[in-house]
Amino acid sequence: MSEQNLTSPTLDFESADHQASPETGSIPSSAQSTTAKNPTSKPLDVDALMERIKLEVAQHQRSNRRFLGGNRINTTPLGVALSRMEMLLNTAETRAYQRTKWPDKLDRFPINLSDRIKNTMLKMFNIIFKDQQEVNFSVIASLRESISLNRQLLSQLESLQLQMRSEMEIVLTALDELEQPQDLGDRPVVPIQAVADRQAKKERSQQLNEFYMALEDRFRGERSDIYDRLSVYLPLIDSGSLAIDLGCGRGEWLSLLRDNHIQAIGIDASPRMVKTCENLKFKVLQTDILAYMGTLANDSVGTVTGFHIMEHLPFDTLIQVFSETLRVLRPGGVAIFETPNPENVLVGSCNFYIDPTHRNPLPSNMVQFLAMEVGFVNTKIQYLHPNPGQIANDDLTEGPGKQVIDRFNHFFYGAQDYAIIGYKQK
Amino acid sequence: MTKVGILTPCLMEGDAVGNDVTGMRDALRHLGHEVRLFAESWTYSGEVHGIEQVRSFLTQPQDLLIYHYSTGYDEGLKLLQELPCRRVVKYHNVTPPQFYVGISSEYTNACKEGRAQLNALTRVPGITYWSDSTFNAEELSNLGVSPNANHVVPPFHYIDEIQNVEADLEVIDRYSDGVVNILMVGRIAPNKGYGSLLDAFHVYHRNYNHNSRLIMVGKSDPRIEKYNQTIKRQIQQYSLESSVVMPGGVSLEALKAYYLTANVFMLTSEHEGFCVPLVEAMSMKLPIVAYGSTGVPGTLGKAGIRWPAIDSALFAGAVNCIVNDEAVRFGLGKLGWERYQEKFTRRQIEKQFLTLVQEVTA
Repeated sequence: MSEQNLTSPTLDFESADHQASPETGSIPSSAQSTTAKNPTSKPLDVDALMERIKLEVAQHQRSNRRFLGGNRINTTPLGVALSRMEMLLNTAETRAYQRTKWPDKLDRFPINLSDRIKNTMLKMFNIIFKDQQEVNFSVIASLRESISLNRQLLSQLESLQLQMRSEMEIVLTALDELEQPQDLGDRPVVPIQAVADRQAKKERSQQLNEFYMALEDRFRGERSDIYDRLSVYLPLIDSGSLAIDLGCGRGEWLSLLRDNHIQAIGIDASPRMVKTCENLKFKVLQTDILAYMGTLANDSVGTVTGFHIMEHLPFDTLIQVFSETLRVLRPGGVAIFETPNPENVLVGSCNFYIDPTHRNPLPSNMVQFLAMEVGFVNTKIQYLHPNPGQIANDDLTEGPGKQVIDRFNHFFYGAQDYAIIGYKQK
Repeated sequence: MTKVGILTPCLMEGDAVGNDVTGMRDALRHLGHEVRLFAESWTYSGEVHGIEQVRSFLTQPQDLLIYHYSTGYDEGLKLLQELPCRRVVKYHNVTPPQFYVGISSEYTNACKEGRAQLNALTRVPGITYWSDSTFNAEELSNLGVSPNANHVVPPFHYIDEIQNVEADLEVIDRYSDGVVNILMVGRIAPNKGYGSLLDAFHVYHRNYNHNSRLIMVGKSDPRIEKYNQTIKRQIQQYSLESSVVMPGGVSLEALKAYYLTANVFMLTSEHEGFCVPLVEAMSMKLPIVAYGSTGVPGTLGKAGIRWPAIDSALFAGAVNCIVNDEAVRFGLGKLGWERYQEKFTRRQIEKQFLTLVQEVTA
């Protein structure tokens, strides 16, 4: 800035350099400029400018609303903190009971006493601390009540967040539609038609849902069988952190986790599946997978599983699910996704299509490649559930005949499913 | 040559009333009139006479009393009623008392008295009224002042002096740091709408540009400490401590530097008789975003973005548009500068003022 500008700013109007230049923090002018930059152009139309600003602000507020819709409170750390409190209370409770046994560490030379003296001292100890014990139990009981209450509140908060998010989407979509210029003269029935279409779509979806439930019941297999099959994954799970099961279905995996004292949340889009899980007292949410994962914080989950969901997803959604899984997993956390194995010819050519909601078979090497591309480490494919009707060849000697049978067994009676297992880099 | 006494209850150095009073004095002295300033109290460093000397100075019917009215003052009303000379009320406006309710009983009462006395003032026969703005003139007209006696002349200002001094380089260095500077000039008072100003800045700072700063240049008054504290609390609540600057009252050199380093002048004042800082900003080619309350539309005209209501989102959006669009910035600066040249240069104000003086003294 020159001396001349400092002392006589009005003399050099063209320079106008008391205002910040783009180099000093302003963003260069956009193509939306109301007037040309040439000072000889016609004067600025302030009314038009104000209208433009109103529009820009409205657009900005809309994008902000979307942003706000994406905000959520991360409840995972709260849940973990409550679990920690429960553990502490358990410890406290074990110490709060009346002492009936002389402590081992006091039962050694030179203070090892006779049983009579020990019993007398224990009685005295319990009499002296009787009131304290009552206080301890009351405090523990009230804290347990508080934890239970907090868990309920957390659960409600999560449900509300999810509900709010999905309703926000509906509202924003409706706003988008409203903000589109409508030529009512040409299309007077469009809004009514749209409502009718939406209703029809809803009904079709309901029918499909009912059909799918019946199909699942027919082909999914017994609950106990699924439970046993899934137990193969238990050794991979870190019992100290939260597990998320995407597409939890009837909750066999949730059941296995609960039986092994692992905290878990199930996600499923089907209201009937969710109801089934709720009846079994599982923590489960009815929502879209990606919408739910969007509510989780980075590095907040120990395990993410998805049994037979990959084959239902469009490929770009699958990529997003993998990416989101990697994001929410804590370092060292594990992801397990199981899907039909198309390398088994019967599966790839026929059984896969028993479920009409399956999109397309996913070859294991492609899925493993995708997992690595997304960023998982130590990925591996675990082949599972071979068809039991393999042709026996144990009594054959090595040779072409045995090789043919082996290959036949592999392609027709080999693993019907496989799982991609990957870890987040520590 | 006419004897002219200019009376104001309180004459402060450098405020709008003080600048107007001394501006009138200088203009009249140029024409050869004998002019004296009278006040009850003053901090002005030039020559001022005590109120008790007015009667002995203005003794003839051809003498002229100009009573600068901005607050209730019994002695002023009495002089206006009793002096035998020609009398003019220069109406600067009185802040409505409701702005000060719950903040300062002293200010509330003073404003109440000022408003009540305005009624009495308009009933004194033979008075001519010069208002700072059309808004002020309309107020007087609503109180029954006839159009023949009701004139508008903008207040004298010290913009020429601001333009001629060298800007405070320290201020320029400190605030030419790549941060977008939003400026407001005016004493820290409830009618100036500093709360809304902070709301709007908060929206801009949060939603558009974290790299921004609000500079609020103006004296704070310990008698309205409650209000000062409210503003400070609001700054804390918005976590804007590091982005809001309150340098207090500043020298002309520093004031110029603040205007020079600012990107936008933002005004959310809810009551202005005229608003000299708007003219200062226009003269400095600074784009203006303002709330079009009371006297603001008359001063700003179409030379800035003027919202009819305080809507933080629109104020923030306007600032964003100005900061990001060079053509808008340039266009608004040009409109302001042209309006200043057209209406508010000292020469033009002096010409209007002296025309009115001539009419009164003829």
